[in-house]
Amino acid sequence: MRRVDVIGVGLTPFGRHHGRSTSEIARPAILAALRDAGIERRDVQAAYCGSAYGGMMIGQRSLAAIGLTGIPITNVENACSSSATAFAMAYRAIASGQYDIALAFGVDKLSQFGGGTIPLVNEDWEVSQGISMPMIYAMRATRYLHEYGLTPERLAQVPVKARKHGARNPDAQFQSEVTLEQVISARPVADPFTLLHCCPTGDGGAAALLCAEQMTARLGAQGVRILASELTSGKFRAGFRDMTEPEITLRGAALAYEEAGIGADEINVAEFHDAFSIAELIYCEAFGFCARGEAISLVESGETSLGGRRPVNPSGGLLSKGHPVGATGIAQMVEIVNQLRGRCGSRQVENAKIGLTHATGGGATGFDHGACTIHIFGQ
Amino acid sequence: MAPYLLPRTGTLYSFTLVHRKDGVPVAFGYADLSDGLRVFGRIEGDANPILDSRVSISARSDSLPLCRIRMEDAP
Repeated sequence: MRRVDVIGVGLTPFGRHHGRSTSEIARPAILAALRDAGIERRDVQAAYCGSAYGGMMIGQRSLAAIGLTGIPITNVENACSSSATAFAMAYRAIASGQYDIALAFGVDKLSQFGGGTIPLVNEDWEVSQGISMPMIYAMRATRYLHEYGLTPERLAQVPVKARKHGARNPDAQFQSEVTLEQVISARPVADPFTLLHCCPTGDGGAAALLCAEQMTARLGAQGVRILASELTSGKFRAGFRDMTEPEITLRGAALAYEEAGIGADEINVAEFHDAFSIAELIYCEAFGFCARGEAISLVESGETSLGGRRPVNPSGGLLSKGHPVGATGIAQMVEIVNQLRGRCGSRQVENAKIGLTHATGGGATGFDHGACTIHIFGQ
Repeated sequence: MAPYLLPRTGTLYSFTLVHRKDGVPVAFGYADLSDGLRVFGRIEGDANPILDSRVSISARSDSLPLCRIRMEDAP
């Protein structure tokens, strides 16, 4: 397998893009990634597009007006891991020698649904019974608080931290800080979550250009090396499942660390899939940043805040940056790649050498999650 | 696929009180049944849901979710 670099990234800021179609939301991110890489459109040999709700041929529709057609375009749906899965496919194609340069991007427009929770597929048993993503995560949180003796008030510190980071991110959907009191007294959604424990629905796009290592210097690009690209699915089980132990992420994290040849202690900065407040705690533990049940202390001590020893979700995370599901995975990579290149301005993590992204999702009966993607990047 | 008769008792694994914009909050939860299966259902009755407490399970055919969970040790 050949080594692969990311040579360009771009974002369409997350928020509400009324009056723009899904493909129109994708294009600014793709154009920004091309500019960032400093390459021509004709250099791109293949494209992979991740989207959960973009519909048939979203990749082709997005690339048509850019003039990037006539190449293999693959559309990927993998719930919240859609674009990270598209990225993983581009990575594998380049690593195996099939292409030298490929584009991966993700896009979604959740404002098309007019608010509320994201639509799930009704043939799933629990979905047919009325379950929703906030309910799944809320039950996970209830159990976690019960097992580790935490109060909802302590959990409410997670969104406060996320919003503090997002306030420094001009691409975030929420760019204002909130107080603990505001989180606690916000509209209740599903106990222990108030509205501010939940990521907003929104629109956005994200893109990355990947290139074989040998080509990076020739192109004059500032590349960031992909040290691990891990993609897996959940294991189905009908009976008891420990909801505080994310089996798909635990398994993926072990494989990703092995592939990169590093341990948890070597990660300087991470973007975890914090669709709801409880998720950041569970994933800090799953990635070995602390022991089980102790993640809240990372928030309380400031260790995972900007300025701390190892910031988690410097972009503001899904809670602050927003979560147009198909765009999320590559948007996390945009943040980590820019952190490693020292381009994050007021939210720059000092001496960031190795960073990690983690996008997981897809609520389905009998699964922890349906899909999980983990990527590790190094300078 | 063959029909399978679920046990009528279990323990409450977790729950959440869901607040809709209109109407009273409704509790939903996961019950772990005595045969090892887990079911998602609506929690009925006035008793506060308590994790790991015994519950009884019943089924409804006229409204969703089909599975109903009731705290057993409630006064």
